[in-house]
Amino acid sequence: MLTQKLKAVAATGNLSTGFREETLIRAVKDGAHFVGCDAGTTDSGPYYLGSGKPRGPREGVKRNLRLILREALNAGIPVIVGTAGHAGGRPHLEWTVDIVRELAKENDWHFKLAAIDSEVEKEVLAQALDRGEIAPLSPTPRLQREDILQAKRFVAMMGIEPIQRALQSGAQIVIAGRCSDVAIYAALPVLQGIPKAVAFHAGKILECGAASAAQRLYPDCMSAELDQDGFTVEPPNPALRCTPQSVAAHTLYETGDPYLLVESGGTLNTVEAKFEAASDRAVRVSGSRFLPSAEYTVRIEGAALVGYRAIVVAGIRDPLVLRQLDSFLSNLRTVIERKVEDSLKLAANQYTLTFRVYGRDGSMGDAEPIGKVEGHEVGLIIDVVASSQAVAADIIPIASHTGLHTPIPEHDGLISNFAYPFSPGGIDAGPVYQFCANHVWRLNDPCMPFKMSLCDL
Amino acid sequence: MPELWQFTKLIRSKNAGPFELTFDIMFKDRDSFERVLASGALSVETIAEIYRTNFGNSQNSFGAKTRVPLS
Repeated sequence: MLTQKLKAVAATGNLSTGFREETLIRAVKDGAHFVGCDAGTTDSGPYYLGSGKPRGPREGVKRNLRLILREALNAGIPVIVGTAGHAGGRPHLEWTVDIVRELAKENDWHFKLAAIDSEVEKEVLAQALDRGEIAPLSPTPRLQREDILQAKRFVAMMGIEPIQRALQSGAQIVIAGRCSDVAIYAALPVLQGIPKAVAFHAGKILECGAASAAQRLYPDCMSAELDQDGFTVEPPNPALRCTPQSVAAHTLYETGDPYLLVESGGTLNTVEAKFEAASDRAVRVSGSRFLPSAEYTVRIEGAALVGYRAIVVAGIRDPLVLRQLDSFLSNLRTVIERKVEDSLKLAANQYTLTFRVYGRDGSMGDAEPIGKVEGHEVGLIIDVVASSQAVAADIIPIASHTGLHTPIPEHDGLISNFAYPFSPGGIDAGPVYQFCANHVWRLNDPCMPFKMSLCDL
Repeated sequence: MPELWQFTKLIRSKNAGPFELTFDIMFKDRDSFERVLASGALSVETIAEIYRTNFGNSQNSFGAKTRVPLS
């Protein structure tokens, strides 16, 4: 039987950022069929996947989950959380499930919980590689058997099917590891007979919560009503509004192509999508298509340890130094490298030394079109990555003291050019990871890499 | 010379995953969109030159989108 209308609520764009309690209450009371929430992203870089640490704050995540669970349990509707703990690895999933269990116990809540593990054992992935099931995307980091085995952690990004399996198993609360943002919102509607074109496009709009509003004043909920022909998106918070332009803009937010959104199982094509005002704050979207892919693939994400970072921050305000900053920094590098070799017996190829110059090209690096200092000061970050935290921390005082007194021809005598805002100057920034995969895994069964565990709380 | 923001409602840069950076430009109206496109200021070549990349890829819908690889 085809569902006539189905209302999806996104609690917020990221579980850790929050929403207004009254907005969620209103959204659920307004006939929601489920509440979804994305809890992660790779936008914060590879640290969380590599380290296994979740991004908190834990108390904030707990507050948000408490409100979502309370409202959904009262209404008798499912909750779907995707990319638990920010990176969706096993420790991130466990951290999130632990909070859910704690809430159930504290509040005497009872429900069937599904946890979907998306971490892929390195040996399993290496065997998939051996069988030719791993295909590269562009750009392609080198990913051979030894790279896989040396990396810290891999996850596969699930599509809608593992979530659907959890819902069909009777789970009311679904906590998923690494998961497509869109799949959080498309899984249940597709199960209920909503066309994939509608469900996936609605999922794309909902995945960032209130971000598809014209002015997102603060993180908050978003609602969409889906039917056979399209969906209507409307912020449940009366202070926010969606416009055809804000929703169209969100359709291409953080996508590589403005029209094509590649998902596991197929591609959403929005070339012929129409965005029409349904009111002064609601938008009707229709006309997208969904093109199933010939092969089912899931994206693989991996993180490998690169080293350990220590930094020091300095301001440079001397106009004569700023006028010759490039040669100044070049001289500085030469002296630091010699002193590190003398003091620590480390050659320059045994660590990396990076000068990040805010006020010149700190934001854009080599892509910066201006690429020179135009202001009266710059902020310099001396960034060292070495084989251990102790070595990185040892290089920093050598670098900062050298920088402080590096001479320029216009000044005689000892100069001190750097203004250090902190004491101590050096800051240990911890382990450094890199994303080591940009690949997909061809699957016969969309659920194969994803291990579901069910329990009655 | 008029500046791009005078024709737009939104100019933003956003990464699309770990390996790509995109620029989204949403115009005030169809006329603004077509004027800017006709000026050639957003051509693939111009974008590639400004950001010193040989991979400039400019497309458009309600707005225009450009993507460049992240180093």
